[in-house]
Amino acid sequence: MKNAPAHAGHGAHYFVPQPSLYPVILSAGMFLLALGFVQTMNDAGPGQWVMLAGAAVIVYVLFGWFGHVIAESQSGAYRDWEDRSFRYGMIWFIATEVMFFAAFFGALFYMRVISVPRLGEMMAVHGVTLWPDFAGTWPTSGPQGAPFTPMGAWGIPALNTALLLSSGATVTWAHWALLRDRRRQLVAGLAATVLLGAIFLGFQAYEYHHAYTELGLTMGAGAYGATFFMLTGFHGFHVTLGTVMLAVILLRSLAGHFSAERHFAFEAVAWYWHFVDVVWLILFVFVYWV
Amino acid sequence: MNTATTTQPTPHDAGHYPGGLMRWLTTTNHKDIGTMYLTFSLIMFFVGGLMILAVRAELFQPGLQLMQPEFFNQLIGVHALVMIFAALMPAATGFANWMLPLMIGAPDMALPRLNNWGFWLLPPAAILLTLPFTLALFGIGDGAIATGWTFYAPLSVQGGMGVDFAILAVHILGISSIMGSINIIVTIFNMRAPGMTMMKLPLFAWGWLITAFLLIATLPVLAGAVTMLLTDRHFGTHFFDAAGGGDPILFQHLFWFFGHPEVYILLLPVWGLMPHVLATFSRKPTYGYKAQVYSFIAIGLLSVVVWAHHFFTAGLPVPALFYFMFSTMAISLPLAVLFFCWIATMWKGAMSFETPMLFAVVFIVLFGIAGLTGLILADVAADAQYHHSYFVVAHFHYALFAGGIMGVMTGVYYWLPKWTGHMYSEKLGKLHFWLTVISFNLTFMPQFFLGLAGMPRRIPDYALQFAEFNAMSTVGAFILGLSQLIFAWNIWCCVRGGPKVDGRVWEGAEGLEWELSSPPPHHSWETQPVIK
Amino acid sequence: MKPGNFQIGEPMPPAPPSANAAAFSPADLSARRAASRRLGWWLGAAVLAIYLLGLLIPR
Repeated sequence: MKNAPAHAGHGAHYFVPQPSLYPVILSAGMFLLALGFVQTMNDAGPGQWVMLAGAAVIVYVLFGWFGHVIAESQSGAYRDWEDRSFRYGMIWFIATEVMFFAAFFGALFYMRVISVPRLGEMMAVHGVTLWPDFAGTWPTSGPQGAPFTPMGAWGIPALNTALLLSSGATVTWAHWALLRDRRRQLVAGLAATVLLGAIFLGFQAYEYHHAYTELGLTMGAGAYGATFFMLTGFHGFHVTLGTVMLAVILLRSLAGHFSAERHFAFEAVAWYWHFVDVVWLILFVFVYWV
Repeated sequence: MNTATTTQPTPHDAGHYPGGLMRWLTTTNHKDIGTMYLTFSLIMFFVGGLMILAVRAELFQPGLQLMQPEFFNQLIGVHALVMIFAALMPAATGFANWMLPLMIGAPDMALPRLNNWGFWLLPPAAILLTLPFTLALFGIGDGAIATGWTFYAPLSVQGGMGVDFAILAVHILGISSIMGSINIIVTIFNMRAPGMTMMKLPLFAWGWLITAFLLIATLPVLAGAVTMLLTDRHFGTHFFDAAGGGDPILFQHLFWFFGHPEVYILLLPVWGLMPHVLATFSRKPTYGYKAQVYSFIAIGLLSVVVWAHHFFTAGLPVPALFYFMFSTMAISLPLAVLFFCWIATMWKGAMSFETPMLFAVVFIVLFGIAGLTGLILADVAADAQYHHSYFVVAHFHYALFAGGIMGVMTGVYYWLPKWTGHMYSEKLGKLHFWLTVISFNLTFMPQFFLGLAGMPRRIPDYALQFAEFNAMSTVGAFILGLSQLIFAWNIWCCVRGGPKVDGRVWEGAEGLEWELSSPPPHHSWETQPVIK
Repeated sequence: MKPGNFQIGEPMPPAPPSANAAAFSPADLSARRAASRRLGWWLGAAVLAIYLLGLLIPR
């Protein structure tokens, strides 16, 4: 080669996988899930069973497809060039997740800064309103919402913050151990991270139960209830996914996968976990605290 | 070079490729996937076209002749969703799949299985979108989404089962586009031939790179917005309900934060393609490569901060109106740079007018009309008159049909010989071109006048004084629709056979894609070329 | 080398001129260049004329 290649260090051939049926099956599973969901929501036929079938297909594909990828990875099919593709891919996937949460934070800020105060000052500004007694302060369930008690920041939520921050530390510890090939510390760090994630989810479930049964705080509790449950709910869903992925990484570490040089899957899950962590910090400040 | 193949643990080309249907279901090859995207796009182009021909037939005369207003509303909304998400976007993704590896010297796309998944999400979504029409025939539900493609709350909160189908379809389409975008970004960043720096990247790749970033930034917001709509419909939240402290305008903000960049998502791949076509048939290098790249970036950045010009009349504060007016108008500056570069590429060129070149030249003129009428709509004071009128309909069809669909046709004629190894019929191509251009203008030019005269959009009936222009528009629409059959026939014949072409199909064509045979080998650049 | 233009470093077999594309003689090509240049000036003059005409129309 006359010139230095733009990407040093990859061989001449890129790994292009063999034809695979998993993508089509996954799409079919998602179709069933969506169809069943619409049926369930509109009482049109046996929606739950269609959803269940769709979910089963998706779980099957997750096992099959990821299992296949892990086998490829273990056989050494992926080298630096492929590795870089996965890294770019994961980074931009997390970017899409950031924008997904941005939509819900945008809704929260819009309600707190614009729509709720405007509803409160309609009488003063326009001299006409449907709800003359509405003050437009936060937290609120809106002019026609039922009364409720907002969730305090310094009980379980603060504890959850501590849990997630420590889990970020333990996953970094595991990474540090992996880079130095200390397998027992790697496993211990990952196990601690999974455990902290699971405890977080347990507290979150307790908090939801508490909100619904004792505080009158439901999804229907107006602007506050909607943003509270959608933000914490989607975050909790992402923690669940992250915990499952961490558990897979833990099992793979126990099976002896990953080396100090080649451990993209570990790093991808760690990035994802840190992303979930950061979302929680913003969420703690703007949903629970201020 | 071959030593690398033998030492590779899992030789990538050792397997047997299934034939028949299994080839298409399981493929990881960027050309197969590109072909599927383009075929799907063509089919859905006709599906969406048939819907709007029914609408135009209803609008041929004042009064209600063929359908009830509810069905009319369903047709226009699904027409838009189908054309945007299932015809135009897959066509652009199909181009990217086919051409990016050829243009940047890559063996394939970076993430081939993900690529396959991205395509196979489309047919289920298209079924979800159109299924409610069929279900309504059997008495299940009340038809498809009837809110228009914008899902505006509170109408969409109150709508029937069709809204749920459309929400889920948009979710799946969104996942598909995001997967496609991630794949394209990774391919452009990681798969370029050695020595191909970003400032040597073909402009088509640059256009798609900005498109992919826009999709990544905005589609998740649309997903969030329709998710809120779903919970408002079924789980008792009050995002878009003032009684709970929410606001219907919030939906418009969220929707158009996606919706405006979507316009550029549809157009940027075409803007990237145009300089290639113009340069080829002018036998001259592209004028102003750097200026075009920077204009793409500037348009991409501006497009995410101008969304509220879609609802100037919804009651925004005056400072917001001013901000959104001026930022919208600012987009015309980088766009004018692009127009200048396109025209300057042809200036003093030895031009010849094959079908793709005809489409490209007419694209500049008609898309110019779209841009200039857009400036009128961007003016807050003028928009109070034109908002939600047929002027808007005409404007965005000049942008998305003349700018988008005819841009795709440019690309199809330009690259079809490369894909198939056969030449299409130039005679039929030119016939298709002239019929399309004349009937397109016959369809949409009268709609400008209808809008100026005050005819609102999305209404199946109208006052008598609008009758002549509507009749003209309907005649134009049917000629436009029928002439697309020539397009499909020409493609079909070209795929089946025709005069053989060489690697460099066009005399003036420059770039890596023309160095490969037509059709290109299975793994496009198995050995990457070195660029200096 | 201008940005956006590049050459392939390793020599590749040059693709032969296509039989399908219109093959122009050098005289044809230069005639076409002159024509596109002339047309450009005419269009520019027309645009300028429309602009100047617009200034004269009272509003």
